[in-house]
Amino acid sequence: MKGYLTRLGIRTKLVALFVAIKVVPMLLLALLAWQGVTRLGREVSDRSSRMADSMRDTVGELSDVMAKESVRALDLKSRELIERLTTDTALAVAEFLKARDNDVLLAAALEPTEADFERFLRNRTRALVVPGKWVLSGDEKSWLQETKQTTRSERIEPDNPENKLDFNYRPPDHSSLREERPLYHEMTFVALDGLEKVKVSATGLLSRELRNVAQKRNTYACAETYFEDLKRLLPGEIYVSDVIGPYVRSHYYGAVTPEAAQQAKIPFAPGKEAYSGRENPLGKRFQGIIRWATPVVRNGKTIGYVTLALNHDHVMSFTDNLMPTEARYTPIPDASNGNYAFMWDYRDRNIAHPRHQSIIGFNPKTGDYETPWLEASIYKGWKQSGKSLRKYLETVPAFDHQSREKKPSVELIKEGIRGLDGRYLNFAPQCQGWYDLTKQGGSGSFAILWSGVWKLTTAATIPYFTGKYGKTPRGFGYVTIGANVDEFHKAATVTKALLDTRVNVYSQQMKQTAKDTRDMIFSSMSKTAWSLAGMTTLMIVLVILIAVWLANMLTGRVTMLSGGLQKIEQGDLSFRIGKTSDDEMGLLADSINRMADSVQSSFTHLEGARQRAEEANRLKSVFLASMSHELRTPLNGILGFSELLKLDLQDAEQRSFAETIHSSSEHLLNLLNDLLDLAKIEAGRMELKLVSTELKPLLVNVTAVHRAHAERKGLVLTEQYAPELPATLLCDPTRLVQILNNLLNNAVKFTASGSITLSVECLEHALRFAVSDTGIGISKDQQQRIFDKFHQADNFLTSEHTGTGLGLALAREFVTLMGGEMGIESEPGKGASFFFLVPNR
Amino acid sequence: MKKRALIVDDTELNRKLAIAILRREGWEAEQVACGKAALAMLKEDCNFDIVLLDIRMPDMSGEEVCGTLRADPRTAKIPLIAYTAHALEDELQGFRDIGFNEVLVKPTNVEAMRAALAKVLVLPKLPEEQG
Repeated sequence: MKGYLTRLGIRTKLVALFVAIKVVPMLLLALLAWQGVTRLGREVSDRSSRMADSMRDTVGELSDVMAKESVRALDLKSRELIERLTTDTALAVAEFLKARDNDVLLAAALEPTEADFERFLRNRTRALVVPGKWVLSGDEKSWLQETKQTTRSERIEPDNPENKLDFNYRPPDHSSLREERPLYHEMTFVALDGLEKVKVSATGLLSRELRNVAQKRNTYACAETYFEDLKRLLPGEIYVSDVIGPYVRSHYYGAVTPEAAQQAKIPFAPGKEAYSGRENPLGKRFQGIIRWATPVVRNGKTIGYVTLALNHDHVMSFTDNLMPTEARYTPIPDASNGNYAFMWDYRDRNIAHPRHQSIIGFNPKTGDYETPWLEASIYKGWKQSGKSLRKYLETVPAFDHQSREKKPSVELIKEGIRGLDGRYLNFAPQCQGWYDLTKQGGSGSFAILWSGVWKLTTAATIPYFTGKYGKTPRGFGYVTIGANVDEFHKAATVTKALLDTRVNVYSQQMKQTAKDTRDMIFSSMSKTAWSLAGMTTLMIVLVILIAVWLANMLTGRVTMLSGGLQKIEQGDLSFRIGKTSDDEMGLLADSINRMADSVQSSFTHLEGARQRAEEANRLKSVFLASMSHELRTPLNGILGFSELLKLDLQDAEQRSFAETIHSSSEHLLNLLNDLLDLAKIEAGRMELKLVSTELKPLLVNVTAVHRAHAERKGLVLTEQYAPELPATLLCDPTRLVQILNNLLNNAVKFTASGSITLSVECLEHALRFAVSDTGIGISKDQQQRIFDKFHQADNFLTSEHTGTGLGLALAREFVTLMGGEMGIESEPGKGASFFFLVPNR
Repeated sequence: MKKRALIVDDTELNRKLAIAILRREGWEAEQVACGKAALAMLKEDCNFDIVLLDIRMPDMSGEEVCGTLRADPRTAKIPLIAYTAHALEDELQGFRDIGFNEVLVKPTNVEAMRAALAKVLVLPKLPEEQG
């Protein structure tokens, strides 16, 4: 790392420093800012989304609660209203019945004559809604009133603006056809023996014959038994009968249409089936009567009984046209929509119903009640018992575990018998509910799931207690009204639906807003990010540019300084660095210039000295060369003539003188040659002639000369050559011979006795030549100086040994020139070994 | 008839020594002290068995003399021995290259003279002298 750092230039380091100090924090800041912005965006987005969700939930919950509360409130309000309608109706019925009490009491005061009776009845009428003409609809699935009522509904606006708020006008009801109908079918005077004495019929329902009513078969539907009761009446007491009329059957449950007939596999004959309000407007009506009777007393004695047979239609009219809805009234009852009113007598037998087959009636053939619509198991039990129905039903508890789970008798349905007797209608649990509400003469309501819809069903006792009706708190019976609960709170559910829609729309809007917000945040975030990135990049570029500029400025000056130094270093000592500033760089330039001054002066001085030294050296070489040449000529004469003398002198002494002159001059020649070589080496003019030389012959020639000398001194010269010695060696043979001659010469010269060995070893890249002797040896001191020029082991003049003193120095110079080295191993007295290495190329 | 040698050398000592050795060997020897004199003598009399020619002479060098002699057909075949103190091996070969038959290095001796002469001429082997 350190090494890597040191290799970098100042500029790189400066830029890196700037980047580290400026760019990295900037990137970190940008990163932090980006993270912050991202988190903020995410947070805001999440929160707005959560806010939208919770807002939607809250509004939704609120609307739910509101709707629920509204439904509850409306249900309660509706219940109250319908309960009130029920009780009001029950009261009206009771009042109506009481008026009949008055009628019969008044009738008792009349003379029992047809004229009086006619007069009495003439004004006893009451308006009834008549169904009008009905025909099947085009698709034959329902019935339509043929003669449409022309209803002119004019909108009435309040004249006084202060009445404007919630001004609600309801036009007169023109929907119903009303006709005045006689209250009573007939008025009779019955003698004490049961024979009818006077009879005035207002309608054609009852027989106009005067009959013995003690006989049941002579009564309406062969069912009246009132004469027995009449006999027990005290003057002023009133008898009121049950509702009596022949039962009307229907094989339909619902609209009587050709399609329904086809399904039931019966011929389509609406006129033969029971009237069922809108479901079958053409059907046979239940024609019932309620007979009032009271003793006719004359002079304190009962002379007979006056009876009034009330047309039951007038009683039924109290519930037939009632609607527990905004419509309030209906021209024709309709059980199919679930909103309708009906009546039951004190024994829970139905006496008024939109469907006349539901009204309990008599079988005129037996004069007994027709079988009511029994729950399947009761019917089955009855059939198995073999008893008469009356006897059997005495054994069956009333309201026995009534439940929707139970089923009606299918057999009776097939017969078209559906008269409703609440006590045995065990598949309709509401019957028991009505009983519970009225058994103490009260009223009330409850909700029940019937035919798949929740219905509010009310019951209110008809407080009419005349005659036998006074035996129980239930009086005449009770009015019930059934109403679809959904209708009550329709407004609330509509509002709820509206609210839900609004909530959905609002929630969509919120979602859209949240999405828009999120998009805006993200777009803003991305803009911020881009500008952040842009700014950061710009800053980084700026910082790097500044760094490069600064670095350039600094390194430029440094480069200038180093360039100047380099010029000076390369020899341009006169070069001086221009001073550009007075700062540290300027001081540095000054210092360098001063240093250059000093170097230049030193260098000039040194150069002169060197040139003088070289000149002196050259002169020395020239002098030596010329001296050797000049010396050669006289030496030539001395050598030549001394040799001739040596050859030609006859006198032995003279000849020895000549020999001395000759050998002295030979020595002088050697000295001269050595000096010449040395001079050449020092002048650098000595060059080696490298040739591939055969080693063995060279060694043989060299040793031959020295062996002769050695043997003359009684020495042994041995040769030891390595077996792997190469045949040839690249070397300068002349100089190699010169070196070996020198060493062997010295060895022979300095060895008194013993042996001399020439050895050649093969090293890895060189040959090691060594000349060893058993001579006087050389001390460590002398080993240091032995290769110096003009050195001899002992003083030249005093020694017996003679030599030039240049031999070893020359030899070492040659070895060095050959690329090898020379050395010595010796101890005084133990001989010496001179060796040298010649590279083996 | 004795062999004839011409010694050309500016140094009298050298001439004397060469003549002494040659005469001792049974040669007849003439001598001149400069190159021009040598050329002049050889122009008149080229009947020499050998010419011993010094290289460093004042008037003209031994090389010049050799070149002139070799250029003249009459003297082109005369055996020439360079008689010089220039003892370096390459110089010796250089002399042979420019036309010298042999080189005799100063200082010389009897043996060296004999060897040089033997190489240049087919000389009868002289009997071994004493000493």
